[in-house]
Amino acid sequence: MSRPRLLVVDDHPIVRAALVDLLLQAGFEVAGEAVDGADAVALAKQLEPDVVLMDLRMPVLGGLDATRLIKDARPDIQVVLLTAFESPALEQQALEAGCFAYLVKGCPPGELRLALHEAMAWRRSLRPSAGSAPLEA
Amino acid sequence: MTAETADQASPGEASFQLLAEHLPDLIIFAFDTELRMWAATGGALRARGWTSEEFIGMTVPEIAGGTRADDIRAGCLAALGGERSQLEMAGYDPPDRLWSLHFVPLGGGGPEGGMVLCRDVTEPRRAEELVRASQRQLAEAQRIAQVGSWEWDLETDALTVSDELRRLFGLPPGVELTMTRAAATAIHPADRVRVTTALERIRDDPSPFAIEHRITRPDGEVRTVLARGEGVVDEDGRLVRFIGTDQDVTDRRRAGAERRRLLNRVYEAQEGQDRRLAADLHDGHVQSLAAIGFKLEQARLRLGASGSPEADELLWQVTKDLSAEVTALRRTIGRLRPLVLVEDGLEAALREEAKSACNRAALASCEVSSELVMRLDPVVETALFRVAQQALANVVEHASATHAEVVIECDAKGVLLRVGDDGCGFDPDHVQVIADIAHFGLIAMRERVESLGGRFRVTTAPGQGTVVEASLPLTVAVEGPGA
Repeated sequence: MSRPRLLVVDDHPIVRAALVDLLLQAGFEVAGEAVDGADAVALAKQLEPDVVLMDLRMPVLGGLDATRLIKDARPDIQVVLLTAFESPALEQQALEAGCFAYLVKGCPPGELRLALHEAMAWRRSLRPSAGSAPLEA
Repeated sequence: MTAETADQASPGEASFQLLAEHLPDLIIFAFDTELRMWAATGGALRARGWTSEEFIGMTVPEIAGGTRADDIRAGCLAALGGERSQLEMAGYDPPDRLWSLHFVPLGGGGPEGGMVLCRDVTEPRRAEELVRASQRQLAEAQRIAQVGSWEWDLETDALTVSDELRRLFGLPPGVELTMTRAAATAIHPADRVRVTTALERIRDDPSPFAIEHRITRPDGEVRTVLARGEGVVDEDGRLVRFIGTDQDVTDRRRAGAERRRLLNRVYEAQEGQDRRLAADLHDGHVQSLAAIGFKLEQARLRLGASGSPEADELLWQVTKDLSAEVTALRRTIGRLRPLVLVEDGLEAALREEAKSACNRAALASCEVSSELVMRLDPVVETALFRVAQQALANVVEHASATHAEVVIECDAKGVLLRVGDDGCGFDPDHVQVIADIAHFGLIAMRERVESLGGRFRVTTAPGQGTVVEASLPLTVAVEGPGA
C-alpha cells in the first residue's frame, strides 16, 4: 500500500512550501499543491488524494466552500482545515461543511500530524484500499 | 402770614391748606402774579423738616437754583394764564431727589395767582427704571439665549409673546396672535399633528411639559425649538392659562449632529485601521511564524534519532514557545477584527467574547441570551460588540465577579444590550473624580452609543455589581456634513 496522499491548499507560498517540506519529512506523500479553493476542487478531482489539508481564507474560493464541493463529489476524501482564525463558530461551520478536523496555525507541535493520521485512519475505514500509515508517524 | 394755621386763613387759603393736609406726599406752593410765593405747606414739607418761612417771599423760579428757572417761570406764567403744565426736575435739597412739579391756576374767587404741586417721585421713578432695566435685561437674556416667552389664555385662545419670541418665529410686531392660528401657520407641517395633539392633551393638565418641534418662519427658514411651559390655575383651581418659553435649539441640534457625525467618522477610521492592521498581521506575520513553526518541526523530524536529546528538547521548546506567540498574536488579531462578528453576527461574537471572559477571569458562568432573529446594521453590530467587549473586559479586570450575563433584547424600535455582573461594583461619582472613568472605558462606551443616537446607562454601587446598558436604533443613518 502506498503512503497517504495529501493535497496541500494554501494561498501563502511560504506557508505552503514549509508545510510540504514538513509533511514530506513526516512521511506523507504530497500529491499536489493548490493555491486557492477552486484550484483545490479541481486538483482533488484530478489527483484523488486521501486527505486535503485546506486553508480557510483564500481568494477565488474559500476553504469552507471548497470543502463542501469536494465532499459532495467525493465523500471519502477527508479534509483537515488549517487556518489562522481561532473561532468556535467557524469551527462549527467547518465541521458542518464536512471537515474532519479544524486546526489553528500555531497549534502545538505534532497536532497537525496527529490529525492527518486520524483523518487517514477514518478514510481507510470508509475505503479499505486507501493508502497505509506514513513511515515516520 | 403762614399757611399752617387754618383758623387764621382766608376761605381760599383754608381750602388750600385742607388740600395739602389730605395729600401728605405733596408740597404745595402758592404764588402771586409776581410769581412770589405767599404760602408753602404739605405733609412732605414737614416730613423733610422744612418750614414755610424758608420759601415764602422767594419767587418760584428761585427754587430751582438757576438750573431749570426758565422752565419753572414758564410753568408759573402758564398757570397765571389759566393753563396747567408739568415738569420734572432734580431736587432742591438734596439734589439727588427727583421732583414732579404741576403748575395749576388758583381759582375759586381767591387771590389771583397759581399753585405748584410738588411731589417727590424719586422712588417711583427708580422703581420704574428698575422695571425698565429688568425688562431690558430679560429681553437681552432672551436674545442671547434665543429664548422667547409666551402666555396662552385658554378662554380666549390669545397668545401673548415676548419680542424675542416674535423674532424667533419671524412674526411682525403688533400682530395679535392666537394659539390655534400660530399652530396652524408656524409649526412645521411634519410636526403639526404631534404638536396640536400635545396641545389638546395639556389643556386639562397644568403639569410642566416640554416638547421639541420644528417651525417654519415666514421667510421659509426651518428652525427647531424646545417649548416648555406649565399651567396656571385661578383661585377656584380652574386651569386658565399656560405660561412658558420657546428656545431656539437649532444650532445646538446641528452642533450635536455634527459632533456625532465626526465621532462616527473617528470610529469608522479606527475600525478601518484595526481591520487593516489585523489583515497585515494575519496575512504577514502569522503566516510567516506558522511557516517557521512547520520548519522547526521538520528540523526536529530530520534530526530524528541521530540528534542529541538536548537539541531535540531545545527545538521542541522553541516550537512550543513559537506556538504560544502565534496564539497570542491571533487573539490580538481577533480583538482588532472580530471575524466571527463579520461572518456570523452579534450573538455569535458575544458568545465567543463571553467564553473568552470566562477563560480569563474566575467566572463560574457568563450566560448569553439573545432575542435577535436576524442580522443588524453592521454599524450597530460593531458598536454594541465593542461596548460588550469593553464591559466584559471590565468584568474580567475589575469586578471580582462570580457570574456575568450578556443579554440582547430587541423590538421594532431598537436593540438593547445589557452586560451585568455580581461583582464588587463601584461608586460612579468617585470613579469620575479619580478619572478612572476613562480607564473603565465608560466615556468611550457612552460616546460611541450616543454618537449613533442611542442611550447608555451604568447602574452600579459598591458591593452591588454593575449593569451596563446600551440601546440603539435598529438602523442608523450616517449623517452627512451639516445634517
